[in-house]
Amino acid sequence: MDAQLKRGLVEACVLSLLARGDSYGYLIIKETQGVIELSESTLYPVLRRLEAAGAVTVYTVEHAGRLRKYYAITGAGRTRIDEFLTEWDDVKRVYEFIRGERQ
Amino acid sequence: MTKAEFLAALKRALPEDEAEQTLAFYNEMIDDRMEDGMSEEEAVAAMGPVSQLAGRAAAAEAEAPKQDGGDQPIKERIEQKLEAWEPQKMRFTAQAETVRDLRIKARNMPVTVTSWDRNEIDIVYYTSEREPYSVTVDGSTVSLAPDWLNEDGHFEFSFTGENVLDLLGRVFTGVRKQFRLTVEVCVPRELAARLTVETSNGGVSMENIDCWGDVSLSTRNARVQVKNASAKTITLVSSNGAVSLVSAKISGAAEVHTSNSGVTVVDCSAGDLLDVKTSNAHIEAVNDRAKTVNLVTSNSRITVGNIAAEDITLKTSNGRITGVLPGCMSDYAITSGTSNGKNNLPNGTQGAKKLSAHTSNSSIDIQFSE
Repeated sequence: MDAQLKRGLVEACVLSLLARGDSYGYLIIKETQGVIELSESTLYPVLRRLEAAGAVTVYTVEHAGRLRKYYAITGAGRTRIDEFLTEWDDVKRVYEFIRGERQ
Repeated sequence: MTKAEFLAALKRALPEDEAEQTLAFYNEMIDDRMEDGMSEEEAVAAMGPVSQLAGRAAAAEAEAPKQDGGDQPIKERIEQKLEAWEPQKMRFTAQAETVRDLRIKARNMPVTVTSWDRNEIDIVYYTSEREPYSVTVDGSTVSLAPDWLNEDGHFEFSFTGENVLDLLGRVFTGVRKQFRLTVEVCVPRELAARLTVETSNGGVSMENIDCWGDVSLSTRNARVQVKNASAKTITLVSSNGAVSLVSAKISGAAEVHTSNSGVTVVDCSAGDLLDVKTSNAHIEAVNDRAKTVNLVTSNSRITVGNIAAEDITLKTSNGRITGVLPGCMSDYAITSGTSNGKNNLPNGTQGAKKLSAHTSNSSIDIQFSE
């Protein structure tokens, strides 16, 4: 599927996961399994975008002799989740209106 | 591929100033997967093809943080989505003799196939950022297909805010624009290829074409019409749409299947089988010739006129079977039956040709020309 179409959902999922606690790349993929199929090549641009938008911050932790990047949600990130949920409600109303009219 | 080889290949594929972050990310991902029990080979393979990763990573770096519209009212945002959908008219042309297999796949759009006096195959179609189409040439196969469908032919959809906006765009667009657009295919009168057309919610028509190969035309919720045509075999499929086959010469089998809509087959010959199936709608077959003719529907009538065949089956329910067949009644081995209706045919007679006519709650009235 067109990666752009998937974007809104992936971003909201990643933010929602980070709202429950900081996480790192591979763990994000594992913990969203079953909710959304994320590949590394999908996740990377999403994390970069979220970072650029100030929705997440990044810090590095040493693990087993190497470095691991952790991602933490910011206030802006939490606002974005709320926006997503509000937007979804708006859209749902219009969607239901159209369905009703079309049926 | 080892991790080192993978990272080196990725580095080569990335612009220099963007490589570091990306490489660090994939390096960590591979390490984490190996720590989780994968072999180095498996972990590298799990990342996917380098070209794809590089493309997506570069796009992410190049892109400014996405503006998602903020406080704009939903209606304006939908309008914007609509403005973004501007179909662009495209034309593909190929020398007819290079094409042996012509495949047209569309969605929510009618498709017309007509002939002209040029020795070229010409496809006029519409593409847009929202619903991209492209024509591909693979050897002697020419295919028009939508690029946004997955391999199963299904449009994938997730209910995110953005996707729903997209869906709304599609819905409005569908009403406003899509149905005006038609895929127009022009071929020489003699088409030395097989022809496959698949669409939905838009009709398919084929006219004035002598096709050397198999012809298959299918849609949903719309008509299929074929006129003045010949083909090796022909398959016409719709659902909830009428199908007509007029003045056609088919050397093999002709199959015409739909539902909840009528079928008309007039002045047609099929070397083998003429098989017509629908439901809840009538079948009319006049001046047709085939080895075997099956006309099957339900809850509606079957009308026949001058059907020449060795084996004729007429089957419906709650509908009349009427018409005229060539020859005299004794030419046919007849089995017939109805319930709650008149039946002018005998049952269990002998004859060189077979005729089977069955309905229920209605009458059978078949006359013979001699």
